[in-house]
Amino acid sequence: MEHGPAKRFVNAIEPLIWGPFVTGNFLTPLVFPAIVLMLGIAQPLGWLPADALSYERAHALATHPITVLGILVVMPLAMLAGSHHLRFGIIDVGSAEHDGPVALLLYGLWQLGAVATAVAILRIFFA
Amino acid sequence: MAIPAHEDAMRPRENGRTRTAAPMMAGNWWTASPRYRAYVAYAFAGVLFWLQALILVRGLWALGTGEVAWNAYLEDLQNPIYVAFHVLSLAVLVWYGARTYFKLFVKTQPPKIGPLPRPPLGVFPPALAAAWIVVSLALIVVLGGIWP
Amino acid sequence: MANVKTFVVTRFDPDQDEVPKTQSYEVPVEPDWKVLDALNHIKDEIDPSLSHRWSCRMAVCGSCGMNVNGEPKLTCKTRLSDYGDTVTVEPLSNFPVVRDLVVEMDGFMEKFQDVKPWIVRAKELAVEEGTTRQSPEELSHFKQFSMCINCMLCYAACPVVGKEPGFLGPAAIALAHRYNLDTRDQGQEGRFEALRDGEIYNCSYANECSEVCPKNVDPSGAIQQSKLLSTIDWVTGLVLPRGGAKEGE
Repeated sequence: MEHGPAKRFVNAIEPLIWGPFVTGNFLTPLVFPAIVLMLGIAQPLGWLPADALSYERAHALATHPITVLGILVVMPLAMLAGSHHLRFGIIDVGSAEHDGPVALLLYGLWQLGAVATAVAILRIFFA
Repeated sequence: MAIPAHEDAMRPRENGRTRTAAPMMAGNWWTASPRYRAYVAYAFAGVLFWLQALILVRGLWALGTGEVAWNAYLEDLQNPIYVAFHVLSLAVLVWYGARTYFKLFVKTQPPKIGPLPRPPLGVFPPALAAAWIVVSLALIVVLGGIWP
Repeated sequence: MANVKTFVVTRFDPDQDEVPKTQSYEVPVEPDWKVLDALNHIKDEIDPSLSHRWSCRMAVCGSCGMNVNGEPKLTCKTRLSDYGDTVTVEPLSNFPVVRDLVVEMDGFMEKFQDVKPWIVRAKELAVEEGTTRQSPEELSHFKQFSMCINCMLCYAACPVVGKEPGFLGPAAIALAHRYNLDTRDQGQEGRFEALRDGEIYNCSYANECSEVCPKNVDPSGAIQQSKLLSTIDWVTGLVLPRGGAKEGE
C-alpha cells in the first residue's frame, strides 16, 4: 500500500514527535491545573489578594529566568500534545485517509503556537 | 453496525487463490462502551490543551503590551463564560493527569533501558502523585501572592 | 433441559455470494456450552456447509477467534450462559474473509516475519564456550510477552489495524519486544528499524488489544515500551555509529 509524500514524511519524523509528545503529556497536567485554578478561577472570583497578579508582580514573575524557561518548555509541549492527540482523535473517529496533510497542518499550527509563545515572552522583556 | 475497515487492512502482499470479502470493523466503536468513551475523551482533551494554551499565551501577550492590556485581560477572565471554561478545563486536566500518571505512565516503562534497571512499578503512582502535589502547591504559592 | 438460542452467523461463499450475508440457526444449547459447541452443533446437525476454524477447545491454540456480539473472543472459551437468546457470530474484524467465519491469515503472518521473531546473534558462541546462561530475573523481563498464542483477537480489537494497513499490529510488536528484551538476542537495532517502518507510533493507546488478549500478554504495554525504546534507539542512532548484529553476518 503506497503512502503519499506527506504521510511518508510524517512517518519518518514520528520518533522526533513522540518523545516531546509524551513529555508534553506528562508536563501539561502537572503544571496547568494550578495555573488554571489561580488565574482562571481564583483571580476572577476575587479570592486572591489584590496585588497577587497585579501588573508589576506578574511582569516580575514572567521575566524571572525560571518562569521563562518553564513557559518556553511547557507551553509548546502542551500545544504539541494537543495537536498530536487531535490528529489521532481524527483518525479514530474518522479515517486515516488524509492523515499526511492533516498531520502536517496540525504540527504546522503547533509551530505557529510555539513561535507565538516565544514572541509573547520576548515582548514582555521589552514592555 | 459494522462498517468497512480500510480496504487493505490485514491484506497479504500477494492475494490468495479465492476472492475474499472486505474487512469490516465496528462502526460506532468509540461510543459503544465507557472504556471507549473515556479513550476518545482522552484524545479530544487535545482540543482543550490548545484552547487553554491560547488563553494563557494571550495573557502573556497582554503582559508584553502594558498595564492597561493586562488589566483588561484580567477583567475579561471574569466573564462567566471564561470562568465556566476554566472550571471545565481544570476538571479535564485533573482527570487527564490522573489517567496519565496512575494508569498509563506505568505501562510505558520497560523492564530495563539499556543496562539501567527499572524501580518496582509500585513506586511510580505515589512518586508521581507527590510530584504533582508539590508542583501544584508551589504554583499556588507563587501565583497566589504568598511568595515571593 | 436444553434451552434454545438463535445464532446469527455470517455466511460467505466466494463462488456464490457478492458480499457476506447472515443466516440464523436455532440451536438447543446445554448450560455449560461455549459458543464453539453451538457452532459445531450447527455444522454437525443442521448445516454442514458452515466453515469455521477450531482445534484444541481449551484456549491454547488460538484457532477459534471470532467476533461474538461484536467483540473478538475465543469461541472455545466464551460461555453461552453469558449471552441472551440471540448470539451474533461474525468473522474477526479487520481481516479479509475467506469463507464464512474463516479469515485470511497471511497478512498477519507477514507482519510477524517483518520483525524477525527469533534470536539474532552477531556471533554465535563456540561450543567450547558452553551454553548461554540466563537468570530467572532476566527471563521474567520478557516471559509475559512470549505467551502469545497468535489468536489475532488483538488485531480484531485494534482500531488502528482497521484504518492503517501499514501498522504492524499488537501481536507482532509484542513479539518483537519479547526478543528485544531477551538477553540472548543481539538484533535490537534491526528490529527497532522494522518497528519504525511498521508505523508503531500510529498506536494511539486505545488499549483494546490488552483488554481482549486471552493470555494476558499485554501487547499494549509492549507497544508503549517499544515506542520508548525505539525512540531512544533512533536518537542514539543519529549521534552514535551503528554496528549491531545483522542476520547472516
